[in-house]
Amino acid sequence: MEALAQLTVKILIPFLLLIVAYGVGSYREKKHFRSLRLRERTTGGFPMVTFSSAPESWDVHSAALVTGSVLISLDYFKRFVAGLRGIVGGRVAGYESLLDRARREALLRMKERAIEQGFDAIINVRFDTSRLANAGEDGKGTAGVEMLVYGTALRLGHGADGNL
Amino acid sequence: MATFNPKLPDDRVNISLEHPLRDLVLLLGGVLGVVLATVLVVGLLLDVVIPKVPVTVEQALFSSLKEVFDFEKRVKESDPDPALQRRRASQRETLTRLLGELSGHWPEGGYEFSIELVDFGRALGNRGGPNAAAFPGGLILVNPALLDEVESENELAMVLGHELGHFRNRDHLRGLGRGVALQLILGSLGATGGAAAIGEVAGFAGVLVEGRFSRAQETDADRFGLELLARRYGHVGGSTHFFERILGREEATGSGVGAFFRSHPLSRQRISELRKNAAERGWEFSGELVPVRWSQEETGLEGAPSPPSPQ
Repeated sequence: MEALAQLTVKILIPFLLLIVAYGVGSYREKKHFRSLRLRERTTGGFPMVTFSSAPESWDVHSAALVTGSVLISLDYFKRFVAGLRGIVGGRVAGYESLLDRARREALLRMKERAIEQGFDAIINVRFDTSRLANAGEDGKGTAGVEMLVYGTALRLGHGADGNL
Repeated sequence: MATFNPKLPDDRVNISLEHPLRDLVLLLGGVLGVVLATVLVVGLLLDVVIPKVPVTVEQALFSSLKEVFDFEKRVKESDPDPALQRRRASQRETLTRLLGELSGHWPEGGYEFSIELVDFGRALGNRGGPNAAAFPGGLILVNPALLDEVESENELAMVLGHELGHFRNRDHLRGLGRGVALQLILGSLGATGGAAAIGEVAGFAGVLVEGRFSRAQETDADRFGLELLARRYGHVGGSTHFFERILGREEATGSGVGAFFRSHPLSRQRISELRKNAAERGWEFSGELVPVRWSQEETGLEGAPSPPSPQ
């Protein structure tokens, strides 16, 4: 029955995709937030500031550029809701949580890299975002978001004991 | 001396706490609701405006539509078989005569009708397709497959009368108007960057609404067809034969959900409607049926039509 086939293809399949995307997406998001909180707690003592130059009291031995970047993709559910928002306007809650995760993840990656290499602090922390265009939709769709964080990592004279 | 005080961030500052599903339901419901409402309002407006378009204006506007389906040209191009060409020509003659007789019983119509044979099955690439269709300007397209199946002129007259019913209610124009309106609405949705799925859902909602209107239109057209039959032959025998024949086929493929989206009512309903209508107006089903007789000089055959030639 042609009408039934049309019904399936146009309504049922997108609907099923939505449900699956929502389920999988929200599970992964919760998992990611848990991981973020854990790592933030662990590395909480590491100073990261947006000063463009080190405070004078610091004894800087060496400096190096560190970056952290992450690429997070939208799921079908977020994309669908964002499309609807595109008609009526307003806060796109799905994107908000996505970007929040991206920012925090990128920061953590930069921090963890700096800690690995034995640095004591990062100054001049800056963010950069870019949207990855979806080649399929003539560049109008969003395949994902790339968040880049960069800063200057410093190795300081006195040990990192909270007092600089 | 600066003291660095690490503090775990309140990680809910930058996110919205609304449940995403609630968000989706509200948005989807709202958008669909607005689209459906717009479609309905536009449909109502069209229903008011369209019947006011005079028949002469309509015929003038769509007079070139006939050329699209030009019988002579198409036959020469696609059917080189001369026997088939002759058969089609004679069928067209008979149909034109029958149509003339029927529309003679509808003097206030004002239409100048024309008939073309179009093999819908071949054109649409699926088996079947509509048997007859009414187009703006007084054009009726008939599927030759129908002609090979009919057993009496009365049956054929019922189908043609049904199409005349559509012209009477200006259904063909309504369909056009609604189609254009729907495309405009969907197009403007797409232009704002809404998800492609929205367009599909809205389009489907439109089809749902359309389906209902169309079925009422079909029932009305059936009623008028029956009336024309009664005026032409004095009885309504043969009017249900066509539907009874396809009834068996329909039952086989099943109804249920599919029936909801059909634009035509199920044959069973159509038959009972026709019987009810005939009873109300006091028309008899018993009466002599005129057998179809394609012009013998053209096909060189006696009596019954020849079997369909292989396609």
